[in-house]
Amino acid sequence: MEKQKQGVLKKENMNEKELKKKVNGLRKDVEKRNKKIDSLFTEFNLHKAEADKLRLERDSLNDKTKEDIAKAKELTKKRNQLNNKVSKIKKEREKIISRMKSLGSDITEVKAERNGFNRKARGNTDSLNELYNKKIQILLDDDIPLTYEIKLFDRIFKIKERIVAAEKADKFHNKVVAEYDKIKGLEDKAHEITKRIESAADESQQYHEQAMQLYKRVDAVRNEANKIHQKLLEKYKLMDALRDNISELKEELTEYKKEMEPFSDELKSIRLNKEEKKKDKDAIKAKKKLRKKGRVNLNDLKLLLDRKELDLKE
Amino acid sequence: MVSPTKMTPKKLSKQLVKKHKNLIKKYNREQVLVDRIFILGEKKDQLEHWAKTSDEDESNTGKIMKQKSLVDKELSELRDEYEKNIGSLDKLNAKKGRSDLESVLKKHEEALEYWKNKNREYSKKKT
Repeated sequence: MEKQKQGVLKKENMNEKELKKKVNGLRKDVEKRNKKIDSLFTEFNLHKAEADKLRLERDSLNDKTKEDIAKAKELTKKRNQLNNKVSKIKKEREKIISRMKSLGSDITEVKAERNGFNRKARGNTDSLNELYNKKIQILLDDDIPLTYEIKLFDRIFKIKERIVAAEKADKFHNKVVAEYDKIKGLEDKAHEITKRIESAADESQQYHEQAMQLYKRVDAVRNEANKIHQKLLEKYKLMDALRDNISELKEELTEYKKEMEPFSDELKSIRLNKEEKKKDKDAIKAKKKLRKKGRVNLNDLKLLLDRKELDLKE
Repeated sequence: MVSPTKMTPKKLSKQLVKKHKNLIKKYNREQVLVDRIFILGEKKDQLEHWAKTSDEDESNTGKIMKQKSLVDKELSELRDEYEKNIGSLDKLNAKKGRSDLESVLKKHEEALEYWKNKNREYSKKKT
């Protein structure tokens, strides 16, 4: 405003030349700033293009990170599901092992009973039956003394007791064998379950490793994205500085334009006056020419018409 | 045949009673046969003796020889039967066999009695 005031105040006292000088001086300043603004815009646009590129790069990396995290979550979910499955199967196996142990202790008891009967039998069923039949045959078929018969009679019933014990031992032995078969069946089942556990654990480990690899990659990509983000922030800083610079220059331009306007208007007014005066002179000359020669050229005619020095009805 | 586990003293003692009854029957038959062989052997000796001492009376000698041949035939049949069912038997054995058989029969009678008593005992015990 002060400048404008000074300009308003001053212009009254300035001639055309001085005004022209002043306006040209201001115009040069404006042009200088315009050029500076253009150059700053070019620089700004370069940074903007780079920033756009960086932002795209950063966003793409962030998207990749999001994708990888989603994948890793899916993998850990699968891993956890498998781990739960493994725990469940392990419980199943524990039950089988406990049943095997119980059968094992049953076998120990049954074996103890079998061994007791074996000790009592002192021989197997077949050999004892053979011995029994041999003794029966002697007792019933051979002509032997009564004393021997009495001895054999007692002996036969002792053998019979041993046969009964041997048959009981056989029964217990068969039970032991059956229990062993059961244990074998359970062992096979436990083995099969162990295989299932191993397979599920391997699969779970694979998912775990894949997830960990993804998380590792996520960290690396995130670091890269952060670096790019930092670069982008630096770019934004530069761009903000340029933008501020441009704004300042634009403000200056507005100031200059404001300052220049009164001088420019004054100059225009002087020039218009000058022109009007010249046109007046030319019109007088043309009018004289018309009166003298009765005709004027097209330019003069136009001038006369513009200045209303000539009515076409005349 | 009774299976060993089903065998009881009652059943076995009954079988022993049966055994001794059968043996007594067998030895009785043998005794009858041995007695007859012994008697016929004696008769044959007697007829041979008579045949040597009655040379004058031919008709009598003929009768004796006829009788002796009948004795020989019967003796031979009995010896065959004995040897077929029991074993070889000579004159001396026949003599000895008579007294042996008596003692054997006596032992079997005793045994039979013993097992009969035992069987009664076991029957009472319901074994």
